Amino acid sequence: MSARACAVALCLTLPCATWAWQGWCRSTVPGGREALGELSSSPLLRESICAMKKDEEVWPSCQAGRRAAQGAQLGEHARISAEAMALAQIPSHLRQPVDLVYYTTGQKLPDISSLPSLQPAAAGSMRERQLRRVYLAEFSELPDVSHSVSDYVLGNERCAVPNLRSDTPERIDSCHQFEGHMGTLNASHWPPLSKAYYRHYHELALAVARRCAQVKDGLKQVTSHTLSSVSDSIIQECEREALALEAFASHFLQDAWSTGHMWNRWGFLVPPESDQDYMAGFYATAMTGIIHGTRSVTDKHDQACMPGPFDRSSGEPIIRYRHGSDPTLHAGGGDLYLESCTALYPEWSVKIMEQLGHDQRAGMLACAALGFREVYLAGPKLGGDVLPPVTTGYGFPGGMPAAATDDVCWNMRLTNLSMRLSLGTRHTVIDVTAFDLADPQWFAGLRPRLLVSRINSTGREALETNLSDYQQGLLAEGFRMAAVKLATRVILAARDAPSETTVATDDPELESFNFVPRSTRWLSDVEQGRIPLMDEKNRDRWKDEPTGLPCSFDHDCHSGHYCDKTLVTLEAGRLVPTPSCVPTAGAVLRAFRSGEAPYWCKADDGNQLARAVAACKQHGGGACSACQEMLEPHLRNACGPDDFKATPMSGQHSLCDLMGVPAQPVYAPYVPGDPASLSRVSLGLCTGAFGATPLTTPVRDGTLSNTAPPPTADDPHGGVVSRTSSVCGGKPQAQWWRFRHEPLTAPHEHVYAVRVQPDSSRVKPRASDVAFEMFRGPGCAETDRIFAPQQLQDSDGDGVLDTILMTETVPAGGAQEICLRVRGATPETYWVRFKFAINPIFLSQ
Amino acid sequence: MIRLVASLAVALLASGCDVLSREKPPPAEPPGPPPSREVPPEIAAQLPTTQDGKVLFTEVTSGGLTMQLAYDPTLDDPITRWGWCLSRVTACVTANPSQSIIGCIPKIEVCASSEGGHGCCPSACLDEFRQAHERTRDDRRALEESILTGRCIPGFPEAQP
Repeated sequence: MSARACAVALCLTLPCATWAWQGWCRSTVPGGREALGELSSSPLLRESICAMKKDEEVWPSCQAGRRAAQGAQLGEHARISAEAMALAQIPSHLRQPVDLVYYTTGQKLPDISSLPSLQPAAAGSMRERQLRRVYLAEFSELPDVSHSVSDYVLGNERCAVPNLRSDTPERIDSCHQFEGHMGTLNASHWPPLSKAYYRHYHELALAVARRCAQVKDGLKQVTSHTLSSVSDSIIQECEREALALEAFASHFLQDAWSTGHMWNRWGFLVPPESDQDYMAGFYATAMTGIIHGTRSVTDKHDQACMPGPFDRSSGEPIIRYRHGSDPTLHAGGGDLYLESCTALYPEWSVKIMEQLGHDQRAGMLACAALGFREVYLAGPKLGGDVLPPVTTGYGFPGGMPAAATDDVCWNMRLTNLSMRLSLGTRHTVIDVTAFDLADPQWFAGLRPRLLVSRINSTGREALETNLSDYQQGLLAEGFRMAAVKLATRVILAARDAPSETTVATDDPELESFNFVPRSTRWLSDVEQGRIPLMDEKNRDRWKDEPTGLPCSFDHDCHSGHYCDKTLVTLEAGRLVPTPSCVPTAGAVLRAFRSGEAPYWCKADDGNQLARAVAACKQHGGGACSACQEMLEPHLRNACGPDDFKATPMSGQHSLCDLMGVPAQPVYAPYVPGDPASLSRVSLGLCTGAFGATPLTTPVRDGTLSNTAPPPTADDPHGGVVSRTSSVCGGKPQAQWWRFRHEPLTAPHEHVYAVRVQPDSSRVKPRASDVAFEMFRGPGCAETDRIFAPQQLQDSDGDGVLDTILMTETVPAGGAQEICLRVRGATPETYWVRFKFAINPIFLSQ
Repeated sequence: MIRLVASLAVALLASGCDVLSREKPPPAEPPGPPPSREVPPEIAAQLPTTQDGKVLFTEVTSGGLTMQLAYDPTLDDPITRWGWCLSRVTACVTANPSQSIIGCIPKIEVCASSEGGHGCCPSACLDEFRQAHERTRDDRRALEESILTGRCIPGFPEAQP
C-alpha cells in the first residue's frame, strides 16, 4: 500500500486502531506518569488523546500486543473513567498512580531483549520484583489491548484464545492485535453484549470489594502495630483490585454511550472452528467498520461517531439516539470525538456539544460514576464511609438511575436515520462532496479480495489454502449481496421510520449479515460465563492450581487456561521446571498477591512455601524477597505449637489466622510492634538461617535450658565456660551458670568478660538481643545482682559481641559464688555461642 | 422480446391481476439520475487505490489476512446488475421521502436486456415489484418479496445470505 493510501484509506491496519472510545497506548509519557497529575483534568492526557497519529515523537504509540501491556494507556477511556471517578468522589488516593507489585522470573521477552517479561511467576520461580505503575482509570482502556484482566497482567504474553495457535511471538502478538484477531472478536463492545460484559466484571469487582470489607473487619482485631502495617497494605491492594476490575468493566459501559456502538452488530466472540465461518465473520467485521467509521487510523471523520452535522451547511447535529422506547431524541457522538481535537471542526466534540445543551457526556459519566461508587461503597471504604450521591443534568427517561446496570444506562440505540447516514456518507471526502456509499451500486461493484497479511503467523494462515477459490468466491459474493440488501433495507427504514431504532436493534431482516448473526446470539453464553476469553465469572472459583496437563504452548491447554512455564516442583532439594496448564484467573491472583492474601493463605501450603525457600536459597535476591512476602502472612509469633495461644489477644496470631482462613502455620517469634523484626524473621526463615526444614516444623531446636542457677558450679579458673544454644522468644528464656572461687591466698584481680560468637550458618544475635547479669552469693538471688542487665557491643565491627562485665579485686580468703545469667532480651530466634571467662584472654580459646 | 412478453403474462396470471384494471400509480417524483459507473473523479482522487488501480473503499486486516474492498467499475455480473437495479429503486426512495415509491417505479429506466444493465432495471424486476406491492401495499415488504430476492435477474446466485 502506498504512503498516500495509508494516509487516506479506510484501512484498519495501523497500531492501536480500535473501535471503542479511542485508547492510546504510549510507550513513554513526557515527564513520566507522575507528570500527568489528576487524570480527570490532566492537560497532558488531553494532549495524548488529541495527538492521534501526529506527534509520534512526543507521544510514541505502543505496538499492539506485548508492548501495549507495558505502555501507558492514555486515551479517551482513561479520561472518561477518571472523570467518572471524580464525579463519584472516589477518594483521591485511588485516583493517583498505584503500583501493581508482584514477582516475575526476571527473564526478558524472548525476541525483545529490551523488555522484561511481565508474566507473574509461580512459587519457586518468583525472582524479580515487578512494579507496574498505573492509574486505575487506565484499566478502562484494557479491553482494547487485552482479552481480559488476566491477559493484561500476563503482559499479553500468553494467548488463551480458543482455536488460535500460540507457538511464536508473532502469533502471540497477533492474538492481541486489533488487526490480528481482536477486531473480529470485539462484538463484546456492542450492545447487548457490552452490558453483559459490564455486568460480568462489575459483579467481579463487587465480589472482590465485599471480600475486602470482610478482610478489613477480620483484621480489626490486629492490635499489634507489626501486623497492622501489613494488614493495611492487604486491604489497600484489595480495594485497588476491586476498582481496577470496575475500571475494566466501565470500558463496556462507556462504549455503550459511543454512538458508533449504539447498534447490535454482527460477529463472534471467539474465533469459529470453521475457516469458512471465520472468514464470514471477517466480512461482517468489515461492514461493522464501514458503519462505525475508521477515524482512528485514517484521521478522517467518521459518521456514526462524529457529533457534527451531516453536511457543513447544516447547523444541527444529526447523529441521534434514543433510550429504548422513550421518544426523546438525543444528539450524540463517539469514539475520537470526546475532546475537541480537530482543528477543522472544533465544535464537533462530545465535550463541546455538552455546552450546547447536548448532554450525552453527562449521562455517560453519571452511569460510569454509579458503577465506581457502588464498588467503592461495597469495599473497605478506606477513604471514608460516605460518598455523596451522583447527580447529573442528563435527561434520563424516568429520572436518575439507581445503579450502573439500570437499563437507561444501556438502552441507547441509533435512529434508523442515523444508521443510514453512518452506512452511507463518507466523511473522508465530505470536503469534496457527500459520497453516498450506501447506494447499492457501489456495494454491488465491490471486489472483495483476500491478501496474505504481513502478519502471516497467526495460525489461521491455513485459511488461504483450506478455502478453495470456489469457497472464497461464494463468500465474496455473499458479502456483496448482503451489503446491497443491507443498504436497501436501511435506506427504506430511514425513510419510513427515521426516528425508530429498528435497524439498530431488531429488524428481523437484519438479524444476520452474510450468515453471521447479530452478536445478540451469544448473549446467554456471556451471561452464563461460557466465553473462555473472559475472566472466570465466579470469583470464588478463581484459583492458581495447575491442572497437571503438561504443555508446551497455550493452545495445548483447555479454554480459560494458559501454559505456565514458570511452574516448578521440588525434587530432592532441586527446583525442576514442570510446565502445566493453569487457569488464567490464577495470574490475577498472583498479580494482586497482597490483596488476595486470603486466597494465598490457603493456597500457599507447605509445598509452595518450600519451593519459595528453595528458590531463595538457590538464587537469593528477589527470590528471597518473594519468599519473605509469601511467608509473612503465615507467621505465628511463637516458638512452636506448644507456645501458641489461640486467643485473639495473645498477639501470636498470623495474618491468616486473623483473617479466619485456614493456613499452613509457620512458627517463629518476632518482636511485637517491630515490623523490622517481622521482616528479619521471615527473611531468616527463607534463607534458612533458622535451619528449620521444612518450614512447617518449629524453628526452635533447643532453648536455654537452665532456668535457675545450677546446683553445681564450674571453676572458671580452669578456662572458658561456654554453651551453644538457640534462644526462642515467646516466653522468658534464660541460661544460668554458676561459678565458684576457691579461697585465694592473696588478693587477686578478676576481670569478668563475656563474648557471644554467632553461629556462622545461622541467625546471629544483635546487641539488643541478649543481656547479661551477674549475681554474687550462694543463692544468686535477684537481690544479689551486682549490676543491672548489660548489653554487649560489637566494638570491632566483626560481628562478635563482647564486653567486660566487671573488674574487681577479690580479697584473699573465703570462697565466693558468682552466677551469670544470660537472657534473651527480644523474642527473636538466634544461635549463639556464649563464653564467659574471668580472664578475658581465655575468651579467645 | 417474445420471452419477455410471455413471462410478463405468466406473472400477471399468477398474481391474479387483470392488467386492464391495474390502479394508476399515484404521482411521484422520479428517481434522480443514475450515478456513473465510475467513482466520481474528485472522490477517487482522495481514496487509495489497489496495485491494479481500483479504488479502495475499505481494507480490513484480521486473522493473518487482509481483505480489501476495492470497487471495480468494470465488474458486470448478475450481482452487479441487481445492484444497479436496486440503486434505481433506492433513488426512488430518496426522491420520495414521504410517500410510496410505487408511483416512481414506472419512471425507472427499463433495461434493454432482460439480464439488466447499468442505470436501469429489467422489466421483470419492476413487474415483480409492482405485483408484490399490490399484495403488500408496502414498499419494504414488496421489495423483500421481489427485487431483493434477486429472482428477476437471470443467473443470480441461488445461495444467498
